[in-house]
Amino acid sequence: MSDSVLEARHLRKLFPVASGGLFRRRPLFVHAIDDVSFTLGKAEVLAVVGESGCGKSTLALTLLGLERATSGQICFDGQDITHASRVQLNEMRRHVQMIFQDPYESLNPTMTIGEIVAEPLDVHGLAASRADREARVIAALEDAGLKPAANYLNRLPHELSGGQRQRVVIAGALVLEPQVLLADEPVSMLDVSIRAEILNLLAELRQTRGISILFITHDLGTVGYFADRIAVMYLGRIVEIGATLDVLQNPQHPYTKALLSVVPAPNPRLRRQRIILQGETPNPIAIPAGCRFHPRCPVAEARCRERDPVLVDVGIGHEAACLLVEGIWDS
Amino acid sequence: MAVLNDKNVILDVRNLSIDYRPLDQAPVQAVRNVSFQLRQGEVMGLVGESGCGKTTLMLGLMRLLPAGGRIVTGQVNFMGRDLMQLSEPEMNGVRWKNISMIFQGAMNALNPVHTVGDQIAEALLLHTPTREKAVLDARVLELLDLVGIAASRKDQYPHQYSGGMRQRAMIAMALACNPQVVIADEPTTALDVMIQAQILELLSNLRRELGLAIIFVTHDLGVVAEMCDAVLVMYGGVTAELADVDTIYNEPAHPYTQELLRAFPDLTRPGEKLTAIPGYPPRLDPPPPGCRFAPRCPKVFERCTQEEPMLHELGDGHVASCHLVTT
Ligand SMILES: Nc1ncnc2c1ncn2[C@@H]1O[C@H](COP(=O)(O)OP(=O)(O)OP(=O)(O)O)[C@@H](O)[C@H]1O
Ligand SMILES: Nc1ncnc2c1ncn2[C@@H]1O[C@H](COP(=O)(O)OP(=O)(O)OP(=O)(O)O)[C@@H](O)[C@H]1O
Ligand SMILES: [Mg+2]
Ligand SMILES: [Mg+2]
Repeated sequence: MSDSVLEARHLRKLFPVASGGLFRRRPLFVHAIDDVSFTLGKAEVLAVVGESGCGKSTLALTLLGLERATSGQICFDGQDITHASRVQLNEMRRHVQMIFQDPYESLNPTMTIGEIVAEPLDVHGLAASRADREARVIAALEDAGLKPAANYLNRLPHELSGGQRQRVVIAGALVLEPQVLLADEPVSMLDVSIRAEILNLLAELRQTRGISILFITHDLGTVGYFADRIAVMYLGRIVEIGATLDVLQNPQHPYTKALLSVVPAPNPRLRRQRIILQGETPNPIAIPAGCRFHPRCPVAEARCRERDPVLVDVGIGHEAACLLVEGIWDS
Repeated sequence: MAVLNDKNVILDVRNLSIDYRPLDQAPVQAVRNVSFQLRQGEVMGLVGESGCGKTTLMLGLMRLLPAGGRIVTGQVNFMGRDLMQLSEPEMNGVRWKNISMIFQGAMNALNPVHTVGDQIAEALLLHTPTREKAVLDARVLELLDLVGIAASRKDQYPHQYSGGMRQRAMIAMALACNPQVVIADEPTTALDVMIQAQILELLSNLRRELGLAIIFVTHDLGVVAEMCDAVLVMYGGVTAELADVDTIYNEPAHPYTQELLRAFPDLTRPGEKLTAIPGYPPRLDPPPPGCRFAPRCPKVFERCTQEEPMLHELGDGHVASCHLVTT
């Protein structure tokens, strides 16, 4: 794809874990990311959804080079950056910015809003002068919807509301004028009305600035509004990916169906049968053989214990990794 | 709506008002004249934006306000007694035994140096005469089973539990003394959707099996639609609207309720634009004159900025505080 900004090919990230017993010879690994491939297009919003622990944050950190990939490839703007040097990575991070999970913890409480937003500029040595620095900070704050910026520059984080704090975090990411935003649960901790505000802001940034966004969340409820495509992750792997409407209205993987069924509909008249998967996502140290979802899958068959399904086409640009849907679309 | 002799009413809150008086600062009028009734086995949702007074209202009726917090007026009738008039030891007899609370963010407040089993036993000890270890142990296991935690996990520490399991442990503690009413303050907010679904199912089962009445505090309108029978919508410390769940979602009378619903993402209607409510909730030290929602209200007119709307009864158990519904 010519207009791809960020691409992952067969990406893997294993974390070694202290081996348990005294006689255990084989080292153990957490398979946080286990063969993930996707492309993020220019000005595209790709949502990555899945339960806690499925590897969403690790994916973002690995793309950003904050965690080194165990194997596979990462390309930014057509360039392979998998084994980039620190200097090259730093250069890349000007263009790929991350918004971290918690707006309450990711702001330094002793720094003013102005200093917080200016920090990335200083780190990258990008401000030509004091005036330039201030102009960029003001522009970023206003782009993040904190208007007029002058009202915020000298305030401390605790003097702002949750939504305003999250906007400061976004301003800090925007100040470098990145091409890509990796947004890790940017609204999960926020109140409904603020959530709408931040989602609309992200949608607008894509429109006005052509920014590409990887939107990470466990809540399928928030993605319909502005994601172009949805990738559903389970235990370190993408099990379904496709255009937002296709995934929401015609989900193919049993896991996607379950995830969709538990998003509470905001109307009691739409209460429906929920497919509640019991337990938590299994431990990514011992990935189940065959299809990794089979132990929790409500429709698993005997063969699902044997073969590990790969992503196959189930529609135009719509893929799912489930033995039960293989071959359905080809015929 | 105030059917006085409705014998299923277990908790009857009348005109509760609560202030915070921080030192050297103007008092915060955190809750004003809130009334509602809760019936046996009923789940009431308490919703509203951050800072609207949800936690304060709940802490107030439990008489657990932090220093500086004060009940200004109101009654909380529970089983024929006004909780606000009880002596502190009497109130202690009601807390946890009759009405218990799962605090906001509590799952991170488990003591890291004690096992989960010991912490549940401790909650039991506060209110049960028995000190017999075998009796306590049996009850702890019973409670763990009730919330779906395997017995083998009893002697583990909180850090060995996932977030969902810690929240289950908190629910077990709240149920330790067989209360009739459980107040759950944002019990699923920090959890992912699948674990949230598990906890919601657990609470629904407990309601059905034990006849528990639950007050479910949240800002998630999806969860409320899923779980609740009645909904109290608060705005800036006052009741915006109170009604049965179907009315709130399908015939909301207060513009705030309407706006709140439009700001909530609805998976069944993807592609539609979300409408954020512009502006912020009012200051409460003191609140501005007129309707507290007026500065953000799309339907505001002159009277709204001058006169505070009273609660107006619209139908059976349906009240709203808006000048538009009184005319
Ligand atoms: N540094 C690390 N060392 C060992 N294991 C790790 C490390 N970081 C993450 N993991 C494990 O990798 C898996 C994926 O974690 P990750 O944080 O990416 O999940 P997530 O999908 O972002 O979850 P959440 O929704 O809770 O944020 C988990 O099992 C986690 O425990
Ligand atoms: N100890 C306190 N001293 C002074 N003011 C307080 C105190 N606790 C809360 N307040 C104020 O009282 C109001 C109500 O707060 P409360 O915690 O009840 O809101 P909430 O609806 O539970 O919000 P959230 O959804 O964020 O939990 C807020 O304006 C808050 O700032
Ligand atoms: Mg994460
Ligand atoms: Mg609260």
